Amino acid sequence: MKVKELASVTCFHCGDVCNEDHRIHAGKDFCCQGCQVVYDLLNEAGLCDYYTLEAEPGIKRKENADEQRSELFGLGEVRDRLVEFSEDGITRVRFHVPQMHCSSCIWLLENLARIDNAIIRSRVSFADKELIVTFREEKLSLAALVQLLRKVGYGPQLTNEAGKRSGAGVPRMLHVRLGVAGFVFGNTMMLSFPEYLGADNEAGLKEGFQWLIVLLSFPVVFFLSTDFFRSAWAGIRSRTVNIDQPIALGIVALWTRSLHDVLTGAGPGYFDSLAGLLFFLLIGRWYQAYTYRALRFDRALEDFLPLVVLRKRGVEEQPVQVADLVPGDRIVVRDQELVPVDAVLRSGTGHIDNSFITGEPLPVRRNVGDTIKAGGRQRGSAIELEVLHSFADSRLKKLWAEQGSAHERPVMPRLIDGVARRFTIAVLLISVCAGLYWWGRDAAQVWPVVTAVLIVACPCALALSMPFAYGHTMRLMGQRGLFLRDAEVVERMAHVDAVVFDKTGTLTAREAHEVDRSGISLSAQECSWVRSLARNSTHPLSVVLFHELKGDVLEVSDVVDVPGRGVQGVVDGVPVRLGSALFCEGPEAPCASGHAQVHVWIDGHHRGRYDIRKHARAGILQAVERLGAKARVALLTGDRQVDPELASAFSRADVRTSCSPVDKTRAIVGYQQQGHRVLMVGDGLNDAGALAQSDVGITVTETSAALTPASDAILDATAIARLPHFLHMARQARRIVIASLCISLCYNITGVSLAVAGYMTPLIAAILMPLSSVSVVGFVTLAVTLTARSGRRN
Amino acid sequence: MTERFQYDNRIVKNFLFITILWGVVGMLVGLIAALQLVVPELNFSQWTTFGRIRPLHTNAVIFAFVGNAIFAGAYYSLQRLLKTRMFSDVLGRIHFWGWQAIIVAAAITLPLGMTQGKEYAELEWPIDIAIALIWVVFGINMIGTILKRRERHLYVAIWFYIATWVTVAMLHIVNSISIPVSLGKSYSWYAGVQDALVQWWYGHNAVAFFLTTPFLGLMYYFLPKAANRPVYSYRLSIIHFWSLIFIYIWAGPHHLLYSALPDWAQSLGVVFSVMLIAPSWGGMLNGLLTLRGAWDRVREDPVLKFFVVAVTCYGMATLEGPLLSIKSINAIAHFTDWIVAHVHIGGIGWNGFMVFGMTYWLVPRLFGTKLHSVKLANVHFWLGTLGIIFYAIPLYFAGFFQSLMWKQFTPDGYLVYKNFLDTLLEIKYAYWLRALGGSIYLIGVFVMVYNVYRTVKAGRLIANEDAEAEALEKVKVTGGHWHTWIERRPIQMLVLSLVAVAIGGILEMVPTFLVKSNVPTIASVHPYTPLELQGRDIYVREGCYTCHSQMVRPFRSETERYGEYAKAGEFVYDHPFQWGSKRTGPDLLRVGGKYPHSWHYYHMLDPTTMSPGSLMPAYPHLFENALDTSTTAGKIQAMITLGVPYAADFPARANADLAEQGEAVAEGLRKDGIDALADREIIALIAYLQRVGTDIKGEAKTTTAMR
Amino acid sequence: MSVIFLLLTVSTLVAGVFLVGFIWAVRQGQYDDDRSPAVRILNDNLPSVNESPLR
Repeated sequence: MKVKELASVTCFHCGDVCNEDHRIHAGKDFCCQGCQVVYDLLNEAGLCDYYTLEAEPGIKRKENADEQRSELFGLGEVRDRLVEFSEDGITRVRFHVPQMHCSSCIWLLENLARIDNAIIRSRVSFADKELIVTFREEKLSLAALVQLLRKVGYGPQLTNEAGKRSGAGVPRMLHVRLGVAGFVFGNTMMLSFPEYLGADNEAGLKEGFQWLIVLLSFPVVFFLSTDFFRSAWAGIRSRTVNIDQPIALGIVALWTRSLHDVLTGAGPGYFDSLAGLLFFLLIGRWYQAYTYRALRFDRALEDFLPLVVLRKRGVEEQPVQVADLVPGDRIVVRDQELVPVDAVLRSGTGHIDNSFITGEPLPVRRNVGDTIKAGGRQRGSAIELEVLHSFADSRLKKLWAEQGSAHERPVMPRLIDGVARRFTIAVLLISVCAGLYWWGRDAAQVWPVVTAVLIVACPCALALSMPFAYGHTMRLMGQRGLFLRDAEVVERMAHVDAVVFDKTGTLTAREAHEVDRSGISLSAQECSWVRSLARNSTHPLSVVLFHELKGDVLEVSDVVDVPGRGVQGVVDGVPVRLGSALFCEGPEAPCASGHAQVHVWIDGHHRGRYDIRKHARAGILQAVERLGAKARVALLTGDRQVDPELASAFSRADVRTSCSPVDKTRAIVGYQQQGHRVLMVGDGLNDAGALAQSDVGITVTETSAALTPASDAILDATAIARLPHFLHMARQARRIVIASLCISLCYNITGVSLAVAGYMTPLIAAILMPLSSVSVVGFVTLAVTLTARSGRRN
Repeated sequence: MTERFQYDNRIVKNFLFITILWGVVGMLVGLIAALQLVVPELNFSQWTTFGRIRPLHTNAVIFAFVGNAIFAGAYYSLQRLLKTRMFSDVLGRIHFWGWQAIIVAAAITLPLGMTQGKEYAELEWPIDIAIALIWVVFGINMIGTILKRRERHLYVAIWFYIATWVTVAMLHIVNSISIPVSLGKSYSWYAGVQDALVQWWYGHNAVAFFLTTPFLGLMYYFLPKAANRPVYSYRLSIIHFWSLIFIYIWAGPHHLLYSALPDWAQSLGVVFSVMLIAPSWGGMLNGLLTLRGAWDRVREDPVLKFFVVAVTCYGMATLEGPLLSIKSINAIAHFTDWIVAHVHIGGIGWNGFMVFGMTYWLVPRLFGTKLHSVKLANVHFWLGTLGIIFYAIPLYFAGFFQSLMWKQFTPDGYLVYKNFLDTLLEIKYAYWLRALGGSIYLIGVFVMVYNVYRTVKAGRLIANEDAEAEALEKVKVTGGHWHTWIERRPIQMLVLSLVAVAIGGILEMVPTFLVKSNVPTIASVHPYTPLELQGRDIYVREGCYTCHSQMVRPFRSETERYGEYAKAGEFVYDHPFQWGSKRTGPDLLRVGGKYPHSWHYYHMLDPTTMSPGSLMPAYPHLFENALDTSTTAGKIQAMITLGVPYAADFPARANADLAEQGEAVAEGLRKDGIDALADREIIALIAYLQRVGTDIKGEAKTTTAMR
Repeated sequence: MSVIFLLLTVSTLVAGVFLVGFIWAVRQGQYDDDRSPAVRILNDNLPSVNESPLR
C-alpha cells in the first residue's frame, strides 16, 4: 500500500481518492466500507446503470452535521410534516434530499423500488431537490425507509420547508413572459419585412400587416411590461429614481408614438423595436432569476437542532418537541447529538464539541454539575441533563433570533441607480431642449423628435449590463466555491477595503491537524497498534491519530470505550490505551489553547503523549498576504492566543484575541466608523452579529448545510485561499459594468443625436436597439468570463 | 392507486413491418426511376414513364415509408412516455388500415396519371380527403392517449408529435383545396404565383413537419433509450422545440428565389431559413452529445451507429439547406441535381438511418429476444453508409458542374453549351453512379429484412406488455402568481388579441382573396383555349414538370438560352402552376412557337430523332389514345368558377372550338407531310406546347437580365 | 399576393395554438424540473422488478 499509487486510485463509487482504507472489491476500487456496501446493494438490485450514467456519482457516507436520527421520522409531529397522505397501509412522503446532484442520483432515487419491494414508486423533483416516495408502511416503516436512503447516501433532511414548493426556481410567469415576448418579437419582425425591404403595398399587404403588428403590440405593453411599470411607479411614489423609470418612459413613448404614426398614417411606427426591447429586457430578467436558482438561503435554525429530544420521566424516556421542554426537565443526549437548550449535566461525562457555535472541533470535557450551552454536540456515550432555559430563551435561540435584523446592511448606493438618475434627467433635458428647438423651426416636428429621443434613449443596454455582469460573476464564483445570496453582494464586495477574519474554524481546517510527536517515541509496530486502536473509536482525536499515523490496521480485540477518558483494547495480545493523562497513568502536562493531548499507555506503561494542534488551512497564508496588498486585514478570535504561523501572516494586520461575539461586532463598527467597507469571514453562530454588522458577511463551511442567515455568502472551506481572487472578480465586475455603460451610452448618444436631428427612422431604431443590447450582453459575458479565467493562474 | 395495464405492441409491430415493406417498394421504384434517367428504354409503358414513376417514388418513401415509421415510433414511445395504453385499439386499427389503403390507392392512381401536378401533393382530391380523415383518426388517438396519461410531464418528444400533427393537418388542407372536375381530376384553387407560394409553403413545411419534427421526436426518445443515458441537455431540447416551431413555418419561400415571387417574400424565406441553422444544430449537438462518454458503446452497438450517422446527416442537411437558400448559392444550385443530393442526404441519411436504428432496437424488444445477428446489422450499416456516399457525392458534382455549363459563355458572348442536352450528357456518368449508390443502399435494406425475419422467427410477439404506474390525481395549478387577477388579466388580453389577429387576418383575406381583380394581369395574357387546356392537362398527367421547368430566371444565361424571363402576371390562368423544381430537360416556358408542329410530333414519338442521345422517354400512347373531350365543358366551367374570364356560355361551345383548333393543328402537320388524326391527345399537347409563354410576346420586349 | 393573407392567417393561428400550448405547459409547471424527465424515460416501469434491457 504505497501512498503514491494510492493517490492515483479513485473510488469507483464516490470518486474520492482512496487512502489507507482503500479496498478492492469485485475488481473495483473503493475508498471505504460505506461505498463498498452501497455498491453491493445496487449491484444485487441490478442497479449498476447508476455508475454508467455519470462517472463516480456516489456520495460518501459521513455523519452529516444536520442529519437527524432516523427514529425521529417515526414521530407524529415530524411524520405529519412529511407524509402527504396515508391510506390502508400505503403512504406517500416528501423528503428534502439536497445531496442529489446528477442524472445518476435521479435515476437511482427513482428506482428505489428495485432495492426494497415495499417501496411502490419514488419520484424526484430535481429543481426542488425533493424525493416523493410511495411505500407500504406495514412492510417498511418510515424510519426504516430513511435508514435505507441514508444507506445509499441520500439521507433526507428534516427541514421545515420540506413540502414547500419550488421557491428557488425561476418564476413561471417569467417563462411565460419570455415565450410571449419571443413570439411577438419574431412575428412583428416578420410582418415588418415588406416595410424593411420597401415593398410596394400590393393587395393592401402592408396595411394588413400593419394592423396585425398593432394587435401584437398590445400584449407587449399590457402584459410584458407590467413589472417595469410597477417598479417605476414604486420608485416615483418613494421619490427615488431607479433604472426602470427611463425604461417605462421609453416603452410608453415608443408605443404611443407608434400608435400615433399608424393611426395618422405617418408611418409604420416602431413596434418591432418595442417588441425587441422587451424581449431582451426579459432575457436579462430571466438570466438574473436563473442564477439565483442555485442557492437556497432560507434555512431555519431548527435544521441544525434535533427537533425532538428524549425526555426522561422516572425510568421511561419518551421523545418530545424541543419547544415543549420546560426548565427542570431531564433530557438524554446521545452520541453525536446536539444539546438543544442550555442545561446542567446531571450524569455521565460530557465531551462537548462546540464546533457548531465556536467552530472549535476539539471537544471540551464537562463533568457533572457543569453547565452546557445549547448547540454543543455530545461525543461519546449518552449523558443526562437538566434543562435550564426553555428553548425559546436559550442562547442559541437568542443568537439566531438576532439574525432577523441581519439583512439590514449599512446602505450603499447602487451604482446603477446613480447612473439611472443622471441618465433620466439628462434624457428629459435633451428631449425638452430638442422640443423647444424644433418649436422654433418647425412645430410639426416637435412631437416626433421628442418621442424619438425618448425612444432611442431607452436604456435597454443600460438595464442589461448590470444583471448580466453581476449575475454571471455570481455564477462563476459559485463554480469556484463562493455562493452569494444575490447579485447585489457582488457590488458590495467591489467596495470592500477591509477584510476581517474570525479565526476559529475559519483559518484552521477541521481535518488538517498537526500532530506533535515530540512527547513520545514508538516503534513502528507500536505505532500501528495505536493506529489500530484509534480506528475503533469515534472520538475526534482518535480519528486524527488514525489519519496522521502510519502503519497497517490490525485486529483489535475486546475494545472498551471508557466515556470521557479514553479507549482501551488488546492488539497482538498487548493491552493498549489511548486517552487522558489520568486514564494512561501519566503526568498532567500544561496544555495551550487550541492544543489537545492524547496519552498512550501500552502494556501497563505510560509511553508519552501526542500534542495535537490545529493547522492553518492550505494557502491561507499566501491569501492573507495578497489581501493585505489591496485591503486592510484584521483577525478577531475568541481564543486566548494565536498560533504562531497565523500570527506571522497577520504580523502587519491588527490581531485581537479573546473577543466575545459582542467585541467582534464592536470591532466591525469601529472599522466602519473609520470609513472602511468591511468584509467579514467567519463561521458558526457566535460571530453572526459581526457578520450581520459587516458590509459583506461570508460564512465558511465544510458542509453546505451549515449556513447562517446572517451571511451574504457561503464560502466553501476549501476555496478560502481564493478569497483574494473573488474580491478581484467583484472589482472587475464593477469596472465591466461601467465600461458597458459607456458602450450603451455611445449607442444612446448616436441614437439621440440622430433623433434630435430628426433622422430617426423605424429601420434605424429597429437596428440600433437589438444591436446595442446584444453587443453589451456579449461584451459583459465575455469580459467577466475572462476575468474569472485569469484567476486560474494565481 | 398503482394501476396495472398493458402496452399495445401489436399495432407497433404492424406499423413497423409495413414500414419495412413500403421502404423496400419505395426504394425499388426510386432505383427504377434513377435507371430510367440513363436507360430511356426502361420507361417501357405509358404507366411507367419517369413522369409518373417519380411521384410514385416520392409518395412511397415519404408517406408510406417515413409515414408508417413515424406511426410505429410514436405508438411505441407515446404509450411508454405517458405510461398508458393507446387511447383506442380500434382507432389504432382504423388508422393502420386506412393509411395503407391510401398508399395502395396512391400506388394505383399515380401510374394511371391521376395527379394534381403539385410536388409531394400529387394525390387527387378523393385520396386527399381520405388522408385528412385518417390523420384526424391518428390525432384523436394521440390526444386521447395524452388525456388519459399517467405521467404528468409531457416529454419533449410528445411535443414534437403534437406539432407534427397540427401543422401537417393545416398544410395538407390548405394546399389541397381544389375544385374537382371528375373523380380523377381536379384543379388547384390557386393560380400561378399564388399556387406556387402555397405549394412551396406546403412543400417546405412538409419537409419540416413530416420528415423532421416527428423524427426529432423519435430521436429524443430512441437515442437516449438506446444509449441508456438521458439526453445531453433537456433544457436545450425544450428550447430546440419551441424555437424550431416558431421559425420553420416561414422558411417556405426560399424554394422560389428568383422566381416571379415578390422580392420581400423571397428575402423573408431566406432570412428565416438562415435563422433555422441555430435550432437545428442545437438539436443535432444535443443528440450527439448525449453519447459523450459512451463512444465505446457506439463502436459495438449498430443501433447507436445508425443514430449517429442519421443525426450527423440531419446536421449536414440543415446546414446545407439554409446555405442553399442564400440567393447567390441558390442561383447555382436550383434546378440541378445538387438539390436531389441534398434531399437524399436528409431522406436516406437522416430518415432512413433513424428508421433502421429504430427497427434494430424495437424488433428484439417486441419479440422478446435478441437481434439475430449484430454482424449483419453492421454489414447493413456499412452498405447504407456507402450507398449514401455513392449517391450524394456524384450528384453534388453533377449539379454544380452542369449549372456552370448552363452559365458558361464564350468570350464573344455566346453560350458555350447552346444545346441543353449536351450539358446533360456530360453528367450522365453521375446518374449511373447514383443508381449504383441507390442499389447498394437497397441491398443493405434487404440484409436488414433478412435479419429482422430471423429475429422474428426466433422470438414470439409480446402483443401486450405488462406495465404498472401510479394513477395521476387531479392537479391543482400551483405557482401563486396565477391567482392574482392582475396577472391573469394580461393572459386573457393576450388570448383575445390573438383571436383578434386571426379574425383580422381573415377579414383582410376573404375579400381580397375572392376578388380576382387584384391579381396584376398583363393585358396580353389570355385564358387557354379548350384544346390547349386539355393539352395542358396531358402535360400535367405525364408529369412533365418532373424534368422540365417553366420558370426562366432573370439571368443572362437563361434569357439567352430560353428567352424573356418569367413575369408573375403570365401565370394567372395556370391551375396548377407548372414551374417545376428540377431541370433534367430544358425549360419550356418559352417553347411556344419555337419549333414547328412537326418537330414536337416527331419528338414525342421518339425524342432521339429530333435530339440524338436524348434521355427523354417516348410517348407513343399519345398518338394512339383519342382525346377525351367529354370533360371539356366541365373543365371550362370549373375554370370559370376559379375566376378565369370565359364567357358564360363558352362551356357549351367549348368542344366545337376544340375540334376546330385541333383540325388546324392537324392541318399544320399535314403540310409537313404528317398524316395525323385531329382527335388524338398529341394534338392537344402540341397545341398547348405551342401556346406556352407566348402571350407575353404581345408585350414590348424588355430583357433586363441580371447577368 | 392575396394568398399571403391566407397563409399568414393560418400560420398565425397555428402559431397562436402553439403559443397557448406553451403558456399552458409553463403554467402547468411542465418545465419547473428540466432534468429528471430526461432520466425518467429510461425506466419503462415494467412490473417485474429487475428487467434487464437487452443490449
